[in-house]
Amino acid sequence: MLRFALLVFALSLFFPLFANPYWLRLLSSAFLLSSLSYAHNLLFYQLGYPAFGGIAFFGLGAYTFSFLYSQNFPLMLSLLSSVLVPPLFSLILLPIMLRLKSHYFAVGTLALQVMLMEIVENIELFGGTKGYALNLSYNANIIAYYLFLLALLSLFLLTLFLEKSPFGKTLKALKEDETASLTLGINPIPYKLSMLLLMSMSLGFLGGAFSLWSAYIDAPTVFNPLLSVKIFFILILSMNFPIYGPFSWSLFFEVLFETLWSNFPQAHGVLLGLGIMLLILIFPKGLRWRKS
Amino acid sequence: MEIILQLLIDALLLAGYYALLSSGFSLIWGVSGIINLAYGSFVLVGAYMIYTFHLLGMNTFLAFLLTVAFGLVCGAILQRLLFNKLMGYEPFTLLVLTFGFDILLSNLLNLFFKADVRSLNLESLSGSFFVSYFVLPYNKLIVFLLSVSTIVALQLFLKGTWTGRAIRAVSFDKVGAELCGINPSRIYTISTSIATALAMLSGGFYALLQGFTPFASGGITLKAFFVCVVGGLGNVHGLLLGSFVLALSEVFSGFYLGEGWKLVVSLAILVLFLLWKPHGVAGVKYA
Repeated sequence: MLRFALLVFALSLFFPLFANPYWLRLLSSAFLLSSLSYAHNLLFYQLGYPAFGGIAFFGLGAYTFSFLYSQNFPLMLSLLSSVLVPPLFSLILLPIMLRLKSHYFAVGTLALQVMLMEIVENIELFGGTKGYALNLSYNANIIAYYLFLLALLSLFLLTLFLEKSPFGKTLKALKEDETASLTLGINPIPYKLSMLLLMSMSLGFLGGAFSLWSAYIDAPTVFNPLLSVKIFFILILSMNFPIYGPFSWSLFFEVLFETLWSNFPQAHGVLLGLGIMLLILIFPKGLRWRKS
Repeated sequence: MEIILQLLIDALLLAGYYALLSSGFSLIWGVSGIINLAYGSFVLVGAYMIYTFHLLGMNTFLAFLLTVAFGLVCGAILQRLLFNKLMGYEPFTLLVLTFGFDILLSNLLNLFFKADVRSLNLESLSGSFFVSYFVLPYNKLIVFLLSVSTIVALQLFLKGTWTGRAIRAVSFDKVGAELCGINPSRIYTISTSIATALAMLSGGFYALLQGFTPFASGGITLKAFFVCVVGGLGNVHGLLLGSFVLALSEVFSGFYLGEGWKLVVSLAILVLFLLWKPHGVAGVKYA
């Protein structure tokens, strides 16, 4: 399975050479969605924190990149800043947030996300309701494709490492029973903080790459709560399949969403809602269900 | 000074309505532990039903009666066919299910009614009532009085009837209630049914107060969530207090900072309360 996955990644390297723009765009969005899912899983699957508002970091990354790039900062520096700003923000707020559990944490972070969206929309310096239209070179979408692929590969390998390593096992122990882990002498703070930093950095990077890809961003696009739901929907379906699940489901859903959108423009929202409900009702424990 | 008093009056009128708007959300959350993210869509379904009945020329009282009856049936079906299937699984599965339902309902409303802003202007509710310098618009005043009466009726039901006491018992201690011969699954159905009817009723009032579109549901659910977090679940004092804090923050921030900052201020208060007192100021179970 691992060899097959690495072969897919290797083939993806050459995909832009022969693919037409439509398929390149579709695969880029699948890479983006799966990277976002893997990034959210660093907190959700590994530690049991459902950061429903994790997209806040994606939005922050996108805005940091777009703001700096539109002020004529070099592309690489803008991208680097989009990786660095979200962790700073997460370090200020999320350690307090991590005191919340389960759906309180989920909705608390979601509220934070919507709040950031509203703040950004109200400040003219950050483009207000108009957002940012970026002046990019014609091959920006190909650069973004490789950036998404890089993020996906890194997050995939990180997930693989966490599944096999003692570090990952410690995370699982903390998720299962924090008090018992404390009695074994495990200090949870470095573990939680490292996962939080890794998540916010990767989401920020993806936000920056997204701005490069779409060339136009506004607050409702990059802080979109629907994106959070799509991600958590994928993560619940991949609950017992954390290494390959997010990528496979993201690819499947991107093709599905695209087909629905292009064939049923009027009813695609209805079908999307119905699809989410049916799948969650049929597979409430994820598709590869292991009885515990 | 007059302006502050006028703003306080506005906040009070709005708070009465918000208490009704959140009562159903609080009931489902308090009794069955479900955060119903499709709640706002049910409010809008109520608003569109009253709007349609009004266009058809139906008597307003009958229209509200039919809407509430439809809400009762919808709630029972919702609990039986959907929520019961996922009870006992991870709570996020229910969050995703209800969000999926929200997307479905919003898009169905959009298919039928299109995305135009609709509003309901009843001839009999136009104009205002004046007390000295202060203005009390008739529609806000009537909605306030009806909302407060509904809350009182709900309280009487929860405290004075066998079913109401059973709802509170299940919320307080499910196993204890089962030992007393109460069937929790039936109680969940009844409470979700009442909650959905309350959502649709408040939707009818929503239509009298302001314009609405099929995609306004997220904001409505957030208001209900705010009231439940700030006030706490399980008693009417919490509901009224949470509603008053929300109304105060909206009215004052809307007036002094601008409409665009209303949501930011409410969300900031929500996040602070989540961190400081996640069970609210007056939160107890339905005891």
